[in-house]
Amino acid sequence: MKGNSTGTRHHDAAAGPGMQHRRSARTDRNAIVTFIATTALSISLVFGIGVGAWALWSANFTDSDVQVGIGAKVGFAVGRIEVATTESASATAPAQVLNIPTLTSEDAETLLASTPVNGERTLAIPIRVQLRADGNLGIQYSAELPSFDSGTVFGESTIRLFPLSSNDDSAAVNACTAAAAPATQPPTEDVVGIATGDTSLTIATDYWCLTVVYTEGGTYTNVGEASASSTASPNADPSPTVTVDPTEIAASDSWQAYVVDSGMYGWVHTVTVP
Amino acid sequence: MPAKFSPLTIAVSAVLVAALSGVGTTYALWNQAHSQTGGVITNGDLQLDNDAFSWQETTPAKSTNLASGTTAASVADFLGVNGDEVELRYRVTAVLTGDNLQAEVNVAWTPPAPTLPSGLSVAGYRVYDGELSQLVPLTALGTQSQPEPLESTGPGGTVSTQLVIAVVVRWSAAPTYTGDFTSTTVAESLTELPITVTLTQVR
Repeated sequence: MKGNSTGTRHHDAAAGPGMQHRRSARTDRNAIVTFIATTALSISLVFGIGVGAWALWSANFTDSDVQVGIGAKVGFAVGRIEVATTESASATAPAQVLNIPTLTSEDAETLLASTPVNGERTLAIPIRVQLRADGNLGIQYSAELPSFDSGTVFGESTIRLFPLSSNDDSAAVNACTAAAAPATQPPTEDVVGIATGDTSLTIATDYWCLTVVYTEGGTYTNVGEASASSTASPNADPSPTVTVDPTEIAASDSWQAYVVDSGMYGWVHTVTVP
Repeated sequence: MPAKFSPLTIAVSAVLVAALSGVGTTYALWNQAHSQTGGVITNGDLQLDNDAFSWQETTPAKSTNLASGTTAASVADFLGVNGDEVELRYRVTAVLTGDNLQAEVNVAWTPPAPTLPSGLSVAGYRVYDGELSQLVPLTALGTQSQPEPLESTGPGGTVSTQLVIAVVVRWSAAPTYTGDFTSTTVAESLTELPITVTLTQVR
């Protein structure tokens, strides 16, 4: 009888007493199950509990296209523009002071070997400052001017460090002349290389010119004297008006020495934020 | 001959009795019939449409020259540095249809959550109205928020609201030093920010 639990009336009528008993039991059980199911559903509907499904709606969207980056950089380098190469020093950390050999003994030799014009010897050294500040960052920098001892070549010179408006190395070399030097030393502190607030990758180059105008000085005079005597017979003095000891000779001479006090210009930068 | 109940029947009946007694109601059999013409059952609706994307620099220390864009690709070109902030803005339309329907907004990572590099963080999200007036202040990702207008009331009420969901990205890394003064390469590395914006019914 398996699979016939919902048998028809025809089947029931043909059944014996045993089957009739089982039919009555099934009928009662079916009625009770139906009653329970109906009641449970009613309860769940009325009280919102039990077997009913209760869902809260939601809607959403996703986006995975956006990428953001890190790795902003800053850079600061300064050096002399030479004919063939550029000597420079680069910063690798904040608040570094970059000392570049701006005025050396070789520069003094060059200065003193130059042809004086109106009694002045001049020297002009173009300097390049390279800057990079990504994103909102900016860079300020300062040039610390050295002091030279009086009595030295550079101590007796007029030295100016001033900015150029040149756009490239070649233009800076041409523009950097002693004649372009200002009468007074312009400020070299807190120069804004790259202003804050520009969110792009910003690379800039500033040009400066260091000029030296040397007027005589910065030397000291050496005087040397030498004498000698001889036991040999004196030569006849061709000048009868001068009486000298024919057995002694004497001579003296003098020369000048240049004292060079080399100067290191310190360059220091500051990274700025908006 | 009394019916014999199976153990299953007895157990179910016991549960029913317990349930009835637990809620303190009475149970009675009565029945009444009444005929009525069929009514209309109106289904509600909850909808969230992503209308447009844009991004806007919101660096606190700046009030001018703020970077912005309208494409996802352009965000990658933003060179964030210490102190910078950008909002990734999703202009959406939220539609609520139903009686007394209320919904909340949530922004969360789309699993798996990305591992953000040091110096980059997502502070949370803000919600603005269509005119960019702030409705919800900075809220952590994964936390639902309740913008005021997300509620439909009255029979068959429908509310269609334009919102701007803004994911807040912040940078805190100090810049690195370089001797490269010619490169035009922007960021060293890019990080994906996969997010899911959800409108969830809460009533």
